[in-house]
Amino acid sequence: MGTDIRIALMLFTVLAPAGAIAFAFMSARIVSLPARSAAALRLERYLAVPIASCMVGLIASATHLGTPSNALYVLTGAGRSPLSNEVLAAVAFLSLAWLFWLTTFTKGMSPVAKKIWLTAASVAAFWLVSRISVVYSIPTIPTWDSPYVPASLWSTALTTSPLLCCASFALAKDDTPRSCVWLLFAVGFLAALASVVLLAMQNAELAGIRDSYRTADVLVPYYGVCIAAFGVLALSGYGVSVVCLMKRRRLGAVPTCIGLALAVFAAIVVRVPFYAMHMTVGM
Amino acid sequence: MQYGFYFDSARCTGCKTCMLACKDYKDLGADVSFRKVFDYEGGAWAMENGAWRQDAFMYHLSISCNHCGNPVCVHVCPTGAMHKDEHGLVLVDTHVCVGCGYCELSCPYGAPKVSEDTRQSTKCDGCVERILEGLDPICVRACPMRALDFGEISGFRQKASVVNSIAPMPDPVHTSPNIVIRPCPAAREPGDLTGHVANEKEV
Repeated sequence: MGTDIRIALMLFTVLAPAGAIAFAFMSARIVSLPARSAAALRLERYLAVPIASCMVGLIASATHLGTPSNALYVLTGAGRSPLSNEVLAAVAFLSLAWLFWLTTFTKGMSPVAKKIWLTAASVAAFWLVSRISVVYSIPTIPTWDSPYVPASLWSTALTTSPLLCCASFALAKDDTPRSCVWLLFAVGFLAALASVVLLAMQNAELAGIRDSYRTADVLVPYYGVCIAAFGVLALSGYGVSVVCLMKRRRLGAVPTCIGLALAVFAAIVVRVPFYAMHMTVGM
Repeated sequence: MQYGFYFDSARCTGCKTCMLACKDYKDLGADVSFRKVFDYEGGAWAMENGAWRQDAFMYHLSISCNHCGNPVCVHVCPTGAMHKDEHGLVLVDTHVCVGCGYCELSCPYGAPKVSEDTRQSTKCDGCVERILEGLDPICVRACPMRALDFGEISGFRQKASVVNSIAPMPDPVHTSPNIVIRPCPAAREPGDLTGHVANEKEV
């Protein structure tokens, strides 16, 4: 797998799950607000931020295709190929999310219809993350066909998505209740800790996996350093955001975006060894 | 019908004529080989009662796509480009291949490759156009030791003292490869840890 392909897939597997879950978190906040309130309308417009994150990830992943003109044929493998299922889930989520965002510029939709639409898009968001998490579970690739792979993808997505959600709140100048922000930070912080544990457990397992040439740990001798870097960067991201929240009445856009950048960088750092540890059961 | 390769490990001298004949016939670049010849060797010298003894061994394995009975490349292919034809050969439909490389990642034999030229998956097709003319694949035709053969796999499986995998191949349980091997005396079983692939950079 070439470096350009790895970078494209790293961006996809970090940005798309972060965007999808952040969309669901934001949707939960929107449906809790009074229908047609100015705050709800503003947040609906700022759903563009997580949607853009997901879209950038999807576009990045499409760049690794050798013959993109055949991309529509990917949908013919739905139900059979994990990659087709992932693409179908991405299309479903982005269609629902993007069309909803377009409707925010009209005045025709009833509050009930909006709630149903946002709920459906949020379900599609979680379905997308579930499909991304298992797309590498191929029985002939023992380093990827491990329960730690989907589990750590979920935990890293839950590390980055609360900060993406909070950054969107801050950019929208939303008066988010502090309890809501603290809850999101707690989810992200605990997910970061869970990620470190899951990745460390996966690292410990690599010495027992081998192909015809070598054991898997030889492929990623720097994995432990990457996991430590992930922990430091992700927790620093939350540290920056928490300190600023304690000093101010509401979320600041700049510190939250800095925290988000640190968390996203942390998630990308642990995707590097993930792709480097690829090996099949054979030759 | 299921076609497959027969490989006589006792005859193979590792000359790589099969590999080069394939590259020439298929006009492949330096970065792609549909057929590869692995040099598998192991053993050591040890002092015993003042005398040196050795258990060194080495043998060759010529291998290409095994047109598996349970091909993982076909299962994961999102477009259906990778498919099995009526002869049991695993082929690429270039009209729909998107060049995602999922087949290349998943195959335990390293058979499919995404070509840098065509940006699509490419692999051994068993020289299907020659088979339809009643000819052998070019690698079989080129082998000076007659170590390779090609035909209905059920016929090869009826031969005496044959197996469907030797080291450094993986356990055949993963993809049910359609290859029959007559192992040489030095051949080790899949999963062997006493030897190693000596020409890793070459293959």
